[in-house]
Amino acid sequence: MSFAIPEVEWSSNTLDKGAGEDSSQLMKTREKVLRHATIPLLLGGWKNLMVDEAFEISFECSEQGWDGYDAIPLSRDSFSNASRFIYLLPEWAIQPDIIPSPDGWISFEWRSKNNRIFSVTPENEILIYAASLGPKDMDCGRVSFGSGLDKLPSTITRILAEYFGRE
Amino acid sequence: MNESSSSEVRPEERISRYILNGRYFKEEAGEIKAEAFLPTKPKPELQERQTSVYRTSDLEETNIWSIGDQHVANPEAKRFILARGDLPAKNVFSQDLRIVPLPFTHPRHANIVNWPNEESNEHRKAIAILLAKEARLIVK
Repeated sequence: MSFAIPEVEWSSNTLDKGAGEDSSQLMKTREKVLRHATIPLLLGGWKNLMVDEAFEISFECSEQGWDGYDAIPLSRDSFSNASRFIYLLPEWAIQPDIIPSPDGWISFEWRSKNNRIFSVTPENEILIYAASLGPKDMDCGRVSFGSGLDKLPSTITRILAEYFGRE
Repeated sequence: MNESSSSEVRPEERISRYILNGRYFKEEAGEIKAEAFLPTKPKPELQERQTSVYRTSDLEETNIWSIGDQHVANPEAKRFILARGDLPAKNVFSQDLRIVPLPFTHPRHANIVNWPNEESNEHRKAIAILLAKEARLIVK
């Protein structure tokens, strides 16, 4: 069965006339959608694309055993933690891959051309990270990821700056 | 290797991890993601985290895929084998992990065990990165 989706034209003529709460909410949504769609990629629009991908992953991995084994469904927290992490990513770092984790979180992985790997998983209030930065150079740990943060913890930024900057 | 063997895993044996999620590998780069090797949380009846693998030394390619299709994939749930990561058992042992034969579901089935404990997510992640880095991606 298929449904036809009515085409809604969000012209200001229609929305601006409303005075109620619904109309105001619609206006806000319209602004959000327009902003989301029109930010140039170089100015951070890529972050919006990444949030979209994280959302897609949450949807794809919402059932027990989504990895073919015993993976836990991704929680709502996993998406909100991932989104918050994405918006704190520095513009100068290369873009990570987004990967669902069998423990029900969303992870981010950076790889450099010389096979250095850095993986970060935003869990509730903490970032779990591990990096393979050279043949005998491993680093791993956890850092606070409290809700008040307006930038990434320095441990994460330092590894990104040293090994995963854009050329 | 004997087909019905529960013998100890030898360091030079090839171990295969079947991959059923397309986000766990990048074919063009030959990359396997660390998450493909991460052990899942133990079920109440199990004592510890495990990563399910198969001992695939001396098997033809078609037989390796056939084990995955018959014993790991779940077509009803639309979960199919897409790829696998192969690595020598010695690379697992070098991370202080063990490979325990568990030949009840299939004679070549085994589990990677001895992962760092529940509070050590970061250490499990670090080990999974090393396994992923050393594994060879074979796409079906």
